[in-house]
Amino acid sequence: MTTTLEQLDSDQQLQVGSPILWQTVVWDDPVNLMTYVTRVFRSYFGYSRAEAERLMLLVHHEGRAVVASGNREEMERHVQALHGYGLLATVSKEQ
Amino acid sequence: MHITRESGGVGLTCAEGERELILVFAAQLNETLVSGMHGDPARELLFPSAYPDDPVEAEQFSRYTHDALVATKRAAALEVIKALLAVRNIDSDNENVDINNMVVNIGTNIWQWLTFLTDVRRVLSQRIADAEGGDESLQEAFDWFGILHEGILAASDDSVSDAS
Repeated sequence: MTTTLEQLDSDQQLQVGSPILWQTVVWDDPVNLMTYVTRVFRSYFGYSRAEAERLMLLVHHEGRAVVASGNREEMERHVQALHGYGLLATVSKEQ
Repeated sequence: MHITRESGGVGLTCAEGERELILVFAAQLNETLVSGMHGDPARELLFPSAYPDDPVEAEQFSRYTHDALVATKRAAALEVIKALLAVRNIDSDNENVDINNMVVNIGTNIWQWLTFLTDVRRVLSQRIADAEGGDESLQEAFDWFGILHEGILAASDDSVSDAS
């Protein structure tokens, strides 16, 4: 059984220990073709065709889509790779 | 132009003029990348900011990634040039070949061609936007490179493993 004190302690730890999450955001642009964006998502992230298409359509209709989240270093690696593919990608803090 | 899937990868059959068009743009892109692109508006297009709202972070990201990205983009342009020159050499060595029906070996270098074509189209889109009243020949090139891009993508489709 958890005592109130322990409960409080673990809650605090949760708060202090939660790292800021970062996101990789891909933006719509007039150059890239929809099929290409889908292929990049499948190939680079290993997403299923359905997931890659869902994300591509989000980019197309909403103007942007969060395609990954995690620590900042990892997100910067993704953005660098996506720039290599010619996609417009940015790093941002999770909202 | 037609694109086929062969045992050794993807092949592009196109006319001499079309091969020369790709070659010209590949050489231009390579030169643009070599020049360092300081003050060139194409720089922002080819190397977008990772932190559009934070110039300090953006600069730092650029400092760490720019050289590697330039190297990758140049390698892609040079691979395209190599494949086109290989055809040009066959063509000049043999009087009996049909120069408008020769196969450029894209092989398995699919991503280098796709990223190269993406970069070329990005630079072209800017040049079209800059040309007052538009520029028909640039627009035609932009569209043609788009068809080529789609064709390579379609021809290589089942070679990409689907994680689903």
